[in-house]
Amino acid sequence: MTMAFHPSDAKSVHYLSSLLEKAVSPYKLIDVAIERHGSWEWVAYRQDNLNRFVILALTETEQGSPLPIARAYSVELWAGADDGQRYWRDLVSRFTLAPFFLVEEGHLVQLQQLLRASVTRADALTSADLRESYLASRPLRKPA
Amino acid sequence: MLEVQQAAAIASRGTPDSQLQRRSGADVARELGNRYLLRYLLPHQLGQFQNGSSGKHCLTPTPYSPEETISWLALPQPTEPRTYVMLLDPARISVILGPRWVRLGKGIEYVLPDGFPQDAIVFRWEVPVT
Repeated sequence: MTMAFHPSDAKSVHYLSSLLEKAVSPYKLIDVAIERHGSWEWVAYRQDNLNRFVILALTETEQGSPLPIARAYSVELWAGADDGQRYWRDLVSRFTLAPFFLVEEGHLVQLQQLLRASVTRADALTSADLRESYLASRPLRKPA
Repeated sequence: MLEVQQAAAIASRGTPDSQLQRRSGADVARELGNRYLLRYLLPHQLGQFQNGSSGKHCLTPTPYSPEETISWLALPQPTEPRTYVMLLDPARISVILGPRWVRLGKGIEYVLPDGFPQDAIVFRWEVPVT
């Protein structure tokens, strides 16, 4: 398939989202191509004794492009979990790809494998791994 | 006279965008006591949103140092602290979702499902954060 990938293009988003949905099952894709302070994120989630997350993030970069073109994407895969009070996230993989490589079959196979590795990592997180604490939320005061 | 506003409940981290509370920008502005929303940027994004944006964005009401942006907002590219910020006036944005706790971070975020218009940008130029 030849396609210039861009995270703000609906066709590109649909394409990558479909790929993710299959690769991270039984995680559910809950957010798609949301722009968070410089990166686009896809978030997959499932809940058992912990809330577990697999996150794919794309950040435009001019560095490390495998081709002599200006734009490339830093692709990151994160696995994380929380119990509502404590949390942790691990960077599973980071690599740089040119936009059209994101839809090239060989790279898609590699991406699917890394997504599965991220699911395995997120699934393996236990309560003992959650080394950061969320802020304690205070109850809201009602107006007098 | 001090006016106390009823704050919206903060959605849990597992809440998808599609299930966040959909609100008017004016409502969020009242909730924040007319404070601005912040959208941090990487250096290569400078000037990219000067005409506004129709994309989906996450914003936070909380000012952070560049290093804090990474952990508090659980951002990718942890070696690139966000060193610039845009200030947006929520009262000039038609639809805002949230707030929600940041997943795997300590902050709070709002989502702009339809982006933001140019006149929501408070300063013409992005502000460097130190």
